[in-house]
Amino acid sequence: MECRRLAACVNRLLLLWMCIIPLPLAAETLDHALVQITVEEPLEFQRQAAIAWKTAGSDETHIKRVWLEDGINVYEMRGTPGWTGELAKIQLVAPPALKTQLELVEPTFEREQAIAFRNQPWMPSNVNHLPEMFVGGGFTLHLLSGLLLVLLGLIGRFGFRLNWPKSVGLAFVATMLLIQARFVVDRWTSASRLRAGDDVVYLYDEISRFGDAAAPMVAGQPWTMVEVDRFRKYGLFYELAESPYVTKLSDAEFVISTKNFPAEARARVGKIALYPVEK
Amino acid sequence: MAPWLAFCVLAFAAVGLGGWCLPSRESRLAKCVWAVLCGIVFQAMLGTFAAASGCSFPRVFWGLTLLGGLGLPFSIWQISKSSDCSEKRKLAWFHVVLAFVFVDALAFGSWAISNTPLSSEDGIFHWSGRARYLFGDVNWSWDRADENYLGLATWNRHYPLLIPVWRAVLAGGSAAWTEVAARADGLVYYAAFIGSVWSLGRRLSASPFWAAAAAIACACQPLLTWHVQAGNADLATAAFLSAAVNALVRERWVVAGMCASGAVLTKNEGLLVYLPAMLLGLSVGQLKTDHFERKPMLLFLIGLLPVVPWLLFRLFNRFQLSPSGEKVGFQSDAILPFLEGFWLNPTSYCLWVFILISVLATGARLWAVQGGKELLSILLSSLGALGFVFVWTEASKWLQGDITLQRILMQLSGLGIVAACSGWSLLGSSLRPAQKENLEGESEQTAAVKPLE
Repeated sequence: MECRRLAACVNRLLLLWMCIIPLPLAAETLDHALVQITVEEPLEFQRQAAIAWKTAGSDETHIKRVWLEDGINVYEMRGTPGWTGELAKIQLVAPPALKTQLELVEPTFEREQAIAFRNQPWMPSNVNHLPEMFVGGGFTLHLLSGLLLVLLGLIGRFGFRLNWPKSVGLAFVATMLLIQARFVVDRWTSASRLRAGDDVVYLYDEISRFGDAAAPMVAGQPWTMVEVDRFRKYGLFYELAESPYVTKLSDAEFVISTKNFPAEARARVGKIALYPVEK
Repeated sequence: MAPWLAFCVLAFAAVGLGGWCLPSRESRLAKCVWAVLCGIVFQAMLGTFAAASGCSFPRVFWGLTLLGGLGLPFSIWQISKSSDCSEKRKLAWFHVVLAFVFVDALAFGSWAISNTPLSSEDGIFHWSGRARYLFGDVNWSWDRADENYLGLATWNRHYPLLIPVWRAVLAGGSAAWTEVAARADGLVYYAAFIGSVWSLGRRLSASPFWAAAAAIACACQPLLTWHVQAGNADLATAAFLSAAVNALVRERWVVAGMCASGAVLTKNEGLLVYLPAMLLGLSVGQLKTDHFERKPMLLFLIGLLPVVPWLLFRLFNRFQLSPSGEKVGFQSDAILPFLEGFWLNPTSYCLWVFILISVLATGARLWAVQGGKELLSILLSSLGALGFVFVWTEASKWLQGDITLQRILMQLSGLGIVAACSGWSLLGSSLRPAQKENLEGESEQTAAVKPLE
């Protein structure tokens, strides 16, 4: 009897949780809005792109990397760091030849479905800037995982006559396995595409190119100002890690010299930008 | 191929080095995990001293390989010579599922390390970045007066050195910096983490099914799989923490201290959150009705000896614990984002809600079994400490625009999942104590689960 009461209590708590979880609201603020990107031409492969935005009163540019497919793509933004408050500017960074249209949309049942069940390709990316795979269908899948847990628990209890603890345990494992199954499929699909030489450009490659470009700059060739974000700044340091640097922290300037090019150049480092300014 | 070969050699050398502190009669799985993790702690310590005294990393690599190679036969003998009575080899369906999930993560991690570049910001900036400076012997200095003291002009000098040193030693094995050196240790830590969770579950659960269920659920976290190849330090912390708690629950105090040392030497959470929690858990476990057992605490502190040089070094350098500052003050704005980290966690879905409800529903049962007190004390005090750090200090800023909390919850997820699964298993077994379980492969209550006297 004690166990039954406990199980009933747990069940009520679960149901309560399902009821009070914030359901999608109208897109009155940025917090609840989704991004819809329409690709207006057929694509042979999925293509990487980035949604970049700034909010009012903030200098920081937030970037979320996404994959584009033919037709209408809807992206979960809720819960993404920086996706809050009033929007100042939003831009899609996509291959230039691609005709695209970006708009902010309200969550609807169809769009929630589209987010939850779209393929979530794995991509090498930066964990601190939540890549899409972690939001992975976001609120809808979050809600579904809870519902699934409760549903499977009830099926175990009343369908298979298991005791409550066993029903809960099996439902828990089955829910986690189903969540993982989705990521297993997505990851290996992405892996096979990458192996097949799909047209994938990594942010890291851009860093590498910038790092390669930095060396001749240091040697005295003319350069153009290149602004990079925090991630690329760190990436640049990583790329040139085995070349000596001399630092001046007081004025936030880094003097870069490489083994191959003994000449020096100065690079000013701001909060989110690094660019060469003088030889 | 050479970097992978060097990685295997260093990992086996770790087993050889860690073997001396293994207990003779214990689960083989637990002993394997402890051997490799304790070995890594020794390797990192010796590597740090050698590097600071001017040895090149190829030399350090071969020196550690020689030491580990000498100890390997003893370690293998120690691991294989005996096991506890709970190790009945009976393959069940849940073992197959666990094997599938486990192998998938390792295979994908290996593939990603071989085919994609390091792209995690923390990996680039802190863990592999500093390792690369150290290995290349540029932008790094052991001289306190130098601008590059402990790495190129960064604000992360107070970060512990276990991961950077181990990666630099690994790079020394192939005499070049590679993606394998930057990230492959994630494979070892992943295996150690899942192994520890499984082993801990076997100790505390009422049947093998629940132990495997805990390991499966743990291995199914999307964020965890990502960390296998990320080059960050969170997975290593999770492995050291769960191995330490497994040793505490199994009353292997010195090993518990050694693994706790690993957690402290990996990330500052180890020192700030997990070490105090483990000391509390150990104290709670040793509080008897009429006296307090001092010997376990003493042995645990002996196991903690590897952290002493690091603590002295920290003291000498006046390192702070957090880059966000150490000012204490209530941040009312942080409460909701902190709770949302559990509630709306996009990296583990309903996992933490399930864990918290399960602990509430079944915690009393778990508290009554040997080791359950320790596990629950450590889990709850760690969560309490996290609440304090994120709501009462300036670390609250990491709740915005970052997934620091989610990563720390991932470190604790193993303990949470074992607490939930063990609690349900004990509740289930108490329903029909005389009846055999229905699930295939389950046996009578595991001998390891002993009610408290």
